[in-house]
Amino acid sequence: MNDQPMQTPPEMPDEQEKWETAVQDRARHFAYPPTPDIAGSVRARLNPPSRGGFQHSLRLTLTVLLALAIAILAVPQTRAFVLDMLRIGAVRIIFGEPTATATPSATNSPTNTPLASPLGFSGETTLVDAAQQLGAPILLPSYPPELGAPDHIFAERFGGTVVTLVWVKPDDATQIDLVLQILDNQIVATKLYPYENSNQQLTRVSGRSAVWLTDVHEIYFFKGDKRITRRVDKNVLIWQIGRLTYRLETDLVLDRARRIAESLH
Amino acid sequence: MTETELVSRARDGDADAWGNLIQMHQEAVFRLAYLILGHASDAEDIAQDTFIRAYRFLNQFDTSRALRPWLLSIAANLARNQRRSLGRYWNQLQRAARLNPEPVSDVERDAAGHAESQALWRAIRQLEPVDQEIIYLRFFLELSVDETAESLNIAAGTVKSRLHRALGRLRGVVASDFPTLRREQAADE
Repeated sequence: MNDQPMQTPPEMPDEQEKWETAVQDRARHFAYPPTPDIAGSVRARLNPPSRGGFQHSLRLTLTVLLALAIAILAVPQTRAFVLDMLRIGAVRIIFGEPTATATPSATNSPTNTPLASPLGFSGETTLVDAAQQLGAPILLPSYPPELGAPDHIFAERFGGTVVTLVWVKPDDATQIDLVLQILDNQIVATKLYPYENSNQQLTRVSGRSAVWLTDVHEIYFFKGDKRITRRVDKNVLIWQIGRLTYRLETDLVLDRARRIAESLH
Repeated sequence: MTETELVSRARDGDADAWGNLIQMHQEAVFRLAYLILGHASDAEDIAQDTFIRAYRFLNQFDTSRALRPWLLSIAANLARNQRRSLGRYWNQLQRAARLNPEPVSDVERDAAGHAESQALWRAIRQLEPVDQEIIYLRFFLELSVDETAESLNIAAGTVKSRLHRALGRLRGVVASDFPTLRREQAADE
């Protein structure tokens, strides 16, 4: 045990000094987690170090923000009070109070682009190509053990890259069972989420901050002057690892979704 | 090679020089972020962002000064922003974390006999951020008064007065909310 006892309220100058010494002593013995290899991770993120790339990202971000502002004003459901915003990595969630009662739809705006496949995603490809486009290895869940490899892999550019892994239901290949979406940090995807009576929960995935959403909502991606809209009617877990943001869409409950998320390797 | 020479080389795009500087300071940066945020994975992200941001703004760094306080001020800003960035949701999370911060593994903690340090940290986390940071910099990272002043961009005299007040408030928190810590103190005595 430490040799400088902590003492309660100071009355004399030497008491204050003892207290300071005691705090200093405890602080010196604080057990930190091991320091990770920051140098290696930073080197990977800076390589290639490109000032032009950074400016390009900035331009992209500004373009996306402008598009977002236009989109918010253009879509009746979002011509609303934006009551709060939450951001996890590349995904911005707008908590709003709709002023219109129309049901959200992917086709009620001329700027909307219809979804390209029955599953709702474009750019079907292979895992290897998706990893190349993303510039990072694709981590796959090892839980549940029977899940196996994804049935479909999509990679699409929206400023940055979105890779979507889809597992379909075993008895119906037209029905989605599970979606794992990986977004790089050059994207801003926007979710419009109902504020009133909404069900959202902060949680953690492998110690990282995460959000769990269980209400039907819409997610927007912007591609040039087009807006890609998807209606999401599953539960969604969102978390970030480094420069990548992960979205898991599932009918499962939070505990099982989190197990899937934490099984990525 | 001196730190100033390494900074100069890094400014010229020498990635190895920047890597060496990261190696020299990553522990302090990571630890400060960990103390502020309470989670190792969040601290790792902040530490990475600190060195990325510092690299991008290296031309603005005054090489007549030490690098570490500058890096720590960036890290503290980023950690502070992260703590605030998710608005009320993040605050809820932080409140929960403050009540139950991510534990260092029990094995590590028990082996090192650092329960009192952990209890002290929990008490510090009940203070206002400004009080927390000055205690972290001065006593946990053991920066000098001058380095602490540079990190916080305040005068050295302000460091002393602010620290004095922070320690007073910490003492109040320990006295009222940490009976276990107080019992251990009494046992020591």
